[in-house]
Amino acid sequence: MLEKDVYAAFKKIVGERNISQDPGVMDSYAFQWCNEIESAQRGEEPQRFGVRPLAVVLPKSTEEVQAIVRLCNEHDVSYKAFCTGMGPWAGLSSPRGIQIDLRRMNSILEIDEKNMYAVIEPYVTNAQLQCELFRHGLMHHAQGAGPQTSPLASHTSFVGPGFTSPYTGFSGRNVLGVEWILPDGEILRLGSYDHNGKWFTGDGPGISLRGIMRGWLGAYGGLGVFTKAAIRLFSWPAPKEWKWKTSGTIPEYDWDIPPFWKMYVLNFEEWEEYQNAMYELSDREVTMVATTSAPEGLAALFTNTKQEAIESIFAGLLAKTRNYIVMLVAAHTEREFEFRTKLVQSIMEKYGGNDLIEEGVTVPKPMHYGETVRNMLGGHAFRFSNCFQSTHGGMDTIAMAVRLAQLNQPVKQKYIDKGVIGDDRGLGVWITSYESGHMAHMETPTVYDPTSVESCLGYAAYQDECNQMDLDEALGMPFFIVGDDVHNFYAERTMNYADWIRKIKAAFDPNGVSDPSHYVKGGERKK
Amino acid sequence: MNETQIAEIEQILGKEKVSNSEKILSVYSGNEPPSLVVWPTCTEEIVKLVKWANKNSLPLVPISSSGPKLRGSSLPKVKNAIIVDLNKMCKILRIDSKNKVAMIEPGVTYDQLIPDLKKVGLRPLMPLLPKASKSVLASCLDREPITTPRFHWDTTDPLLCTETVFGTGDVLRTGAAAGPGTLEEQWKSGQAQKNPQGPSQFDPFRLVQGSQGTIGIVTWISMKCEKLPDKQLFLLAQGDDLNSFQEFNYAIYRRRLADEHFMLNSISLKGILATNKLYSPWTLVIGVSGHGMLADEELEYRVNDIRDIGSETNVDLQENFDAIRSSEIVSILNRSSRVPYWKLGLAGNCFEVMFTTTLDRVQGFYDTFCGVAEECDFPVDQIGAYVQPMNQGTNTHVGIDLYYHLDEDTESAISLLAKGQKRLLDEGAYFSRPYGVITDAVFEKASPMTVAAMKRVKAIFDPNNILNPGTLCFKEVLQ
Repeated sequence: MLEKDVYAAFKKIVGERNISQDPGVMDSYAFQWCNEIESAQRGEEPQRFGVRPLAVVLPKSTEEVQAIVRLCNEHDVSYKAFCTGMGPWAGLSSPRGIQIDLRRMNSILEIDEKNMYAVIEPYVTNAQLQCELFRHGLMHHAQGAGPQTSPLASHTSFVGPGFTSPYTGFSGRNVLGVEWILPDGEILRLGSYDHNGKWFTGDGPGISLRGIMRGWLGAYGGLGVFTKAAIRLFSWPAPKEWKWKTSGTIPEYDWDIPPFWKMYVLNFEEWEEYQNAMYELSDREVTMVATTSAPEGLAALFTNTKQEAIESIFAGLLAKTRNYIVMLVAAHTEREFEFRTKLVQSIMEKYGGNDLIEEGVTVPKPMHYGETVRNMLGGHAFRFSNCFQSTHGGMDTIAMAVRLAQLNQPVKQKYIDKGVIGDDRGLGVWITSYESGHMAHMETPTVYDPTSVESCLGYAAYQDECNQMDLDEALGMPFFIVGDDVHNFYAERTMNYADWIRKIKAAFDPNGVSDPSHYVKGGERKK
Repeated sequence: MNETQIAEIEQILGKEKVSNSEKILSVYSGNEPPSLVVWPTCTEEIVKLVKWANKNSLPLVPISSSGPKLRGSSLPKVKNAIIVDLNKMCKILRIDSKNKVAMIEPGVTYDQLIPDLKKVGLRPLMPLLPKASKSVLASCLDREPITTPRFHWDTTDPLLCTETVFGTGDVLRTGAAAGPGTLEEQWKSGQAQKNPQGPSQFDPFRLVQGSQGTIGIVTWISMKCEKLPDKQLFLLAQGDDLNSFQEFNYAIYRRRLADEHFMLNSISLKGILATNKLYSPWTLVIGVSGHGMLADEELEYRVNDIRDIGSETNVDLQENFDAIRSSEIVSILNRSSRVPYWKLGLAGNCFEVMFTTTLDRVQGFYDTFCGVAEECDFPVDQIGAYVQPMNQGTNTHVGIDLYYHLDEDTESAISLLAKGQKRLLDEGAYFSRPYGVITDAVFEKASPMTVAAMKRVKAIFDPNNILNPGTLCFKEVLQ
């Protein structure tokens, strides 16, 4: 329990209705997806519950967040900000800590239609933002975690691939101005916002303090609290007169596909042809989506129930599917559409591919087009079990992503043979390109049973082996190389980068109160 | 510097890479003359030099480009500085056409890089007609805007990974280049140092970029390139006012139909084409390309969609006008300036002003600046302007040049440089890359926390303020 006077001081900031230390409420914050994996990796018994906060506060404004953070510094209380968070990184590691739940800060503050950026608060969700943006003929880069999650969290604090990445890039590269409560309670405003109240760039004057903000992975909430962020927007490729219309009921609802859109599932017998096609399709900017999964994944992508997915497998989907790219040509004009579809056909023929949609192997319904751009397809993977997590994650070239996929297969198969993870024949991957093919990443979504100790331990061992493989084969840095122990393991063969992050942490969080569990503790590395 | 110190540096680098000849030192002289110039040729030498400078409390000023120096950021601002001239590190280390990336050392110039890229079907993402001696690496580190905003995804583009020797003497490869694995091992695994972010949970390349040599000395970078067009067409438009292009420009940003996309005022156009012709007050340049398979059809669809947008927004797009032909514009792209630098052609001298804003505010800022010019008695027909959309149109670089004759207009040019920039700053122009006289005012306008945060960063990477002291807000370092 927090001391009475400390609790009272927090209550004074947010008001009685916006603070709690009810044990049931605290448990709801401690219960997080994948805690069972992290506890297994620490050598503990796998369990979903992490550290329970001593209190949860719900601030409504930047000033309230600042006051909370200052109070935490004063009373040596750790804190972790929480938006739509799902995963151990959303929770605390220190037993003397509170959760700052930002759900009351949920406003879209500005949409600059001409200059294509939006200013958002932490609890604005992808779905909420998309709804507003469509009215302006715009869209944003929504992370693959889904429409219910926070784009501010992804842009400021976490890795950010999404299904539209070839067209909308990566969250961390789309950030403009930012308002940031530093760990000690000072407010830092990045870029033009600090100078003239406009949000159009987050860089300068001189060096860009975005350099300490997040890096590639994000600081996972280990370096203060972000209260506002401007993010870049992109053109929504539909004619001005097109309106978002749905009918029917979940899961069989209908959606009006914009006129110049066409989905493909281009299938290639060998990885080499796949790779060449992926390069050319991405480089030529013909597709909004370029995503690859396992044949089993394809069964889940374009069906609405587990039964339907299994039926499609029994109908022969696996036998007819090799290395495929789900593509979405989404053009603004008929002329653009005709050119792009013709080019896609030419590239497919050049590399000896076939279109699984044209051949009736898989049949996306109109709603699946909508779910693709709303980043709901990732959620389909949960249909085969109630849980999955990803290993690997290295991000550089398409060629590296393919090599990762090839090297991963026998490793994954080993754990499938042990019966501890779901059977996708080791082919379960997610590859997407970014920024018209300039980058790509590969991760391996892997199904496991969170209620089985054996499965949790098995998945954890698989992830450890993947991490080791990435080190040994120079395959980039996986997503979940975060936290002091894991950083130590990786940094020794990666130029001791973590020592610099520790110095940043020490300089900006002198009291060490911004929870470091998925970031670093400040100061010198423990030998 | 005393003889012992010079001898120690000669020991590190070899005598032939060190000079204190007055004639040579004068080339590098800024507010203060340097005491020594050195020409290292590898990372190891730079590491030793930085460690030595820390031990001896002597400042280092890294330089990659030769003169003319219009901005002065790499000229010493304190006494006893050692110029670290990286000109002799001029190797193109690697070009990867499949992944559209080049890896280069600091001394590589555009005219050196372009032919090598061309051989494998690539072109650099580059600024408009840079000076011939401009280091490609320095241009990337300066956040110099590129002429093709469609390919400008993040402010940092086209800079990707770097190898940096920080002010502490520690070396870090930034971005995916950090590892795991050596560069050779990464290449073998299919990597090409394309992901600039990281390593892990910080972005050191964003700290080095824009730092004007105050955080680290960069020994190589990887940079984004693009495929050479197989088909290309340029469209031009003329206007009395930038606002006449505004609706068109915003529509084009959204569609990413054009490669080259920028605007020049008549004075800059005259300077850049080295003519005395009379041009429209503003010229809009749009470059369109087609590639590979179906190149003709790609070009056709892009051009026709652009023309449709032109018709809808009342912008008359032509390949040629009476005064200007698109072939003339093509002739100034994808190359460096001839010597002397084109900015010196109109009046012999030039001051540069540059800031970032959004497109809808550019005409207003331009008018403001011209208004101040009249107050300062500086001839408005010697003010050049270059408007370059960045970040796929989210913001815009504005470059204003004051072409002045020595003696005749020097005083009014100096006066305009100070007053004009201050007025722009007061009215909301954002000097994201502050150089020269405006620098102090920029950091006075910044909130104290921004300056304090920058100084904390500086204290981590260059704790003894060895690197280019007196630059940006780094007059001293927090201890």
